[in-house]
Amino acid sequence: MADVSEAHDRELVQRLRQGDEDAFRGLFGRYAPTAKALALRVVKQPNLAEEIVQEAFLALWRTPETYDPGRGSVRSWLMGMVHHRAVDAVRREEAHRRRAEASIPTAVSEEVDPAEEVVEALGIPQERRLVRAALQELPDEQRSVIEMMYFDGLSQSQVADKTGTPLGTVKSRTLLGMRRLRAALEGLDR
Amino acid sequence: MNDHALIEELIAARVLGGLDEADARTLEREMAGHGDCADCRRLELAYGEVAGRLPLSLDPAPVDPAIADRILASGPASEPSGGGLAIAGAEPTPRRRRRPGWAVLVAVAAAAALILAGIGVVSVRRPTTATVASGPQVATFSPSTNGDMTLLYTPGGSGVVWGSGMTAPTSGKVYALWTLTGTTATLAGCPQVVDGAFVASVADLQGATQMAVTQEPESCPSQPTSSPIMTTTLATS
Repeated sequence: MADVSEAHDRELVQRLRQGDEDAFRGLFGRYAPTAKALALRVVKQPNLAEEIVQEAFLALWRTPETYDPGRGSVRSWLMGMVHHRAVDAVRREEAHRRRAEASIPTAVSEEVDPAEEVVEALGIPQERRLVRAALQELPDEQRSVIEMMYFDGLSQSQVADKTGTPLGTVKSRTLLGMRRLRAALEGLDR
Repeated sequence: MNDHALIEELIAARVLGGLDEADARTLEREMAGHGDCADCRRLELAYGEVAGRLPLSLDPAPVDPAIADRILASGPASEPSGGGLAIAGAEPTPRRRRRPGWAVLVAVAAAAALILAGIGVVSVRRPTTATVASGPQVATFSPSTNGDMTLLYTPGGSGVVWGSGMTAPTSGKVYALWTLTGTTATLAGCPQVVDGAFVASVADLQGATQMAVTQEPESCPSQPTSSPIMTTTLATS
């Protein structure tokens, strides 16, 4: 499944190089809802999250040649762009974000997005289930370290400070958790 | 595999965005020591894919479909809307080399420097007269010595600026984008330039009549510390 959808993604990126708008809309429909969820989870401000998604997809549209298939999937590249921008935004506006955090609902609107229908059609739900299951199967302390780093934008030393855990322990939990996730998700790449 | 233990540990943290600066330097050093290392690449790829899948654990969020329309309205990548974007697979777009007269440049740079430094109130003579407009506008930055930069914006609203063919900032510096409103310079962001390109949002152009680019320390200070190297004049709402 992953091979097919990944090949499809790469074909779409290739078509972007010729300015193919349908290819762009295909990738936007497939990944924008996940990108928005990621940005929203990290920055916790809907408007800022939307800006980040816009920036990332504008970069995709304007400079698709920066995607290097040798360095991973289109999804990882796109999510990496979104994550990088979101974490940067958090680190720049940390004080501001902390003030706003309390007022932002964590649950996402339940309105049905047309783009989600595209997502549903392309088999991402199965991947979602597998990723969620893999995360759930991690020991709490490993999952929490990974989530604090990836979703809250904290560095390992910040995680150590926040949790009162020795830095070395944070590092080993990160590695053990990531190894488990890697093993659990490896099958998706075949 | 043992000699990759440290690299694996550091890569696993880096893909999560959690690597501290000292560890990032260690990783850089270790990777350099390994040279062209297939195992290192495999680790980067494998953990990169793990991180890339983590967002799938979240419920998808509704996205305003107008975003896609706005992006496409910025024009096809192969036909740069004044920005001179280089597109792979196409002939390199000739870089714009036409520069405004030196007298104008010097006047703008000097005026903007004074504005940015907050030294008194300066009457700015712009290279072009600001126009009043309501629809989406495109503005190019000049001079293009450091690369091509274009702003797509709604006067008085927000915008997106992108750069291509950008030279790397001086070591230890980043590019900083500023909106200029009267005598006030407001930081719009310090975009990261990757492979000579970047894209950044400009959230608020209310009252702004110009945008400027400076090179600043990596801390991305909220006040400019140097003179602008590129500017553009904005239409007002």
